[in-house]
Amino acid sequence: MVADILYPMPPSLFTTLSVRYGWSVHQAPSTGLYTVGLTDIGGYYGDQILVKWSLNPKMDIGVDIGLGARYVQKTLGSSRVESQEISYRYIHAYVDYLLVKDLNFELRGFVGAKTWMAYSTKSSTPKQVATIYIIAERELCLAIVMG
Amino acid sequence: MFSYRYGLEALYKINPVWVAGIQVSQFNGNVDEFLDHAEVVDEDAPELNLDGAWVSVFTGIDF
Repeated sequence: MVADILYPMPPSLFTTLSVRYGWSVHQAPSTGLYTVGLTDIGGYYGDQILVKWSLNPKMDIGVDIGLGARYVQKTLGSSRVESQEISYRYIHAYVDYLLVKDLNFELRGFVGAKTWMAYSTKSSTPKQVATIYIIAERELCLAIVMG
Repeated sequence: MFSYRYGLEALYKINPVWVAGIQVSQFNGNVDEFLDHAEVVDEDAPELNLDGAWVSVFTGIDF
């Protein structure tokens, strides 16, 4: 049907097409980031789009496109912190192979290799930590007086 | 420089078109191209090490 609309595309291009959306968690090293004063470092969270075609009943090839971002805090002096986002993007060539098939369940092994990757950082406006402490202290004093 | 990801995918066909599953994989490699705020490559920026475990939960369609 799709191939008919986009004629002269071959019908097999669409009958073997698969599209996936994935939400990913990626745990990568933080060692270098601690040495430059960044803290609260978690994993990378990201989105992934995979488009693939079946070469035969067992093997698929495709393109895996994704991005990941982690959020860290940088201390600026004794009372200011800045939130930083470190993100990366990638495009992988992708191939997978069917290992086990049982009714509606499939187990596949896959490899994705780099074709393009880049990363960047983004900083937020620095926040005054002292202000939060002052409010907390005042609340505590009030609680003591009233108690 | 070359980087790659390899692993296993468990997939369940909810119906002939709709699928869902999970990917568990290992990523190996560094990213050496740093983009500044203007999306321009900064040649002096350090590499970003991305070696580590990767888990993805996905859904999709088979045409």
